[in-house]
Amino acid sequence: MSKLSTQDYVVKEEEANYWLSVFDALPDTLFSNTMALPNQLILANVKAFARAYQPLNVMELEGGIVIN
Amino acid sequence: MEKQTMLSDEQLVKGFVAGDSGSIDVLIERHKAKIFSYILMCVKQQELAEDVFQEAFIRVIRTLKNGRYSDTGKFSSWVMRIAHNLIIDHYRKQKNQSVISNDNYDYDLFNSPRFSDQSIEEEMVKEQVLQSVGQLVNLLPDNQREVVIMRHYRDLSFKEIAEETNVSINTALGRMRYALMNLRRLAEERNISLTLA
Repeated sequence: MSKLSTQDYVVKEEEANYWLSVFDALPDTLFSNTMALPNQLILANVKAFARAYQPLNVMELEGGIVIN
Repeated sequence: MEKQTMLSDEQLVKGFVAGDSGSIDVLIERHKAKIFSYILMCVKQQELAEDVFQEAFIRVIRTLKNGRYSDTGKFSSWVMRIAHNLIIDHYRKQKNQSVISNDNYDYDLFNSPRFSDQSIEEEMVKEQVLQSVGQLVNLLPDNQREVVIMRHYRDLSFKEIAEETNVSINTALGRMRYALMNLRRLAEERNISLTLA
């Protein structure tokens, strides 16, 4: 098992900061033909969550036991 | 959907907050490649990148639906910033899980009350809380009780729970969510404290 030192994590964080600034500056259209995409299941999960999610404050107003 | 693809990110965000679920689909499709490419560039593992991508969008959806989003720039930059924070959290969690050596310190790291056995009083409180939780779990509707027992007493994953109960993972997650909300409400109604510490 490879051991990572604190310095390795610092480098990783710095790398993440660097890539964020790079990607932030790139136009969105540049990625229209990229092959790096998440699995369709992940996309379906997120979309399903968006449909099912109700903010807690809305649900609490309904009162009583919630049966789904 | 075709008409929505012509809308700006800002219009789609407003549409989603107003209840149009199709708007978030367009936003996800429009920005998935850039956001995922950024995550993958940092973590370099497809599965981990997918986990971060999913969690980032879940946070986006929660923030939007709870009315906590203030439009201060590009939508993709905002989502990438959320993903970035999750990546940093992941690195820090990894760092904290690394091996530590007592030899590097002038004092004994393990000579702490946190590593000692619980006192009889703490054990009794814990036992009482577990007993109360057990009683409340019995008051839940059948399908919610089933998920709680499988998850917390049998330690099954949500994938395993979904397979065993013949429902989707999202349904199993939803049942757990409702179960926890109901448990909290039941505990409040009965003035039961579920705090261990």
